Amino acid sequence: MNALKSKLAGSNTSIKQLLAEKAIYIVLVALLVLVIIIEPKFLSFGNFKNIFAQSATRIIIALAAGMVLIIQGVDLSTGRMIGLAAVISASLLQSASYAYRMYPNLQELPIIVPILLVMVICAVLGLITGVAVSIFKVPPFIATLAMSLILYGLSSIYFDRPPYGAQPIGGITKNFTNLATGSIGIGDLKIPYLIIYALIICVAIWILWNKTRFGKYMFAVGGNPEAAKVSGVNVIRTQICVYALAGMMYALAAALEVARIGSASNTTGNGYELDAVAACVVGGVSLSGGVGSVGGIVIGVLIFTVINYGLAFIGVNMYFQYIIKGLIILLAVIIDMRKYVKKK
Amino acid sequence: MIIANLPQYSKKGFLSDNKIRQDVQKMIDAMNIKTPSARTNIGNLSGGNQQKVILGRWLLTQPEVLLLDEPTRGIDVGAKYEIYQLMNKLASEGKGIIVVSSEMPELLGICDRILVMSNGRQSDIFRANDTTQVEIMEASAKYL
Repeated sequence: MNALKSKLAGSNTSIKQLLAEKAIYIVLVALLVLVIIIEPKFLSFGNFKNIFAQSATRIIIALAAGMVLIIQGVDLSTGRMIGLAAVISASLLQSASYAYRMYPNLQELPIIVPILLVMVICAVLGLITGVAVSIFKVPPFIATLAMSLILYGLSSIYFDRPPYGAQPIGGITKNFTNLATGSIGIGDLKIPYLIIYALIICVAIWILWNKTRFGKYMFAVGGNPEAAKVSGVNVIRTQICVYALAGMMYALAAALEVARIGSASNTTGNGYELDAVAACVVGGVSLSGGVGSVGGIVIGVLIFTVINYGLAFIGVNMYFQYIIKGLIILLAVIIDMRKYVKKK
Repeated sequence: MIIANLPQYSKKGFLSDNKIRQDVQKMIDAMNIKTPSARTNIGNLSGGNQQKVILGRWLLTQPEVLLLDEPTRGIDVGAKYEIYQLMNKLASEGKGIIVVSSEMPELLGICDRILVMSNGRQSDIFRANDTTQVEIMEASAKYL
């Protein structure tokens, strides 16, 4: 290993460098191959369609969390924000005929209303986090940690009340669940709606990051906030906007999760922030900020979904997935750090 | 290099990559910046070239007045000379340049007028042609 390390550090061979940088993808391919060897049935179109559909909401979440990482922040409130958005939107989307309706006298709203409502609510919450971080200089770790506790309290109060107590909010109207489970047919091909939503968001975010002023400011702030400030970038405004936008994206993903799962509780989304950050790190987002790409993040999410799915497919103990996830994150960050160590 | 000038490049909200690339290349050529490519990280360039990039960043905004704080500190002689030439060119185009520097030979060489501060107060203003290093030093010690 040492010989390999010194060789890599000393030589400029692009093949060796490339190999080290792409090691994480090699690991993924290796895992995939392993799974397929053990269970050839994994290699089916339907299977991969499922993987993409399951990744859809995670991709949206990871893109939002990635944006926060890029500006040198970290968002520990992702999961709880999703929980809050989930319970609020679910409570407003229960079908009129459901026996355990939270608002028995509420008419069935057009589905766009709850979705927009939670997006606005979470945008405001994100704004508050952003203000804490940018104006009051609260470290993002602390600000989002505090926010996550507050949000859990809020969503629990909203969720756990008479007459039904802590019963999961279910009975979501078919109109809404179809949003997630339906698919569009092009000829023989059936493409799940979820994939299309994820695709639209990916394209929109890609344009935002690469083709707008805001994107440039974002990467400038993430790379070096001081340098950005003296170059005329409004660092505070950029930071606040990122957190607010991330909040909006979490809410959208939460609504889609509600549609996909069919119910919501105050624990919906718990822990999603770790998966999101893991996917981002594996996908090339630097933890020191200023670096990240839409493609990388998407691949990061897919890697973890494939692992979850594939390992379950070949009957691996569910808990093994944690070990493998952890190892992959370590590997990804080691590779990321080498880029900085090598320069010295 | 374009971070300070972004409003110039966005029509209808989207950045024009072409315009950006053109402007950056023009500036690289005009200022003789030695870089492997326009996409190289600024941190990977030599000190003198880094300074030229930062100068280029602000020149792209086409300012009427340029404020330079120790523009040639820690830079190799070749780049220093090029920056002096650039300042002369800008001045001859009618731009105003304010240079803060602690190198007296530099000031005497490139400035028309020199304002000396002492202990936070304005001490004296000299015409660079008629003054000497000793005079400037005396002025800077006036209010100590």
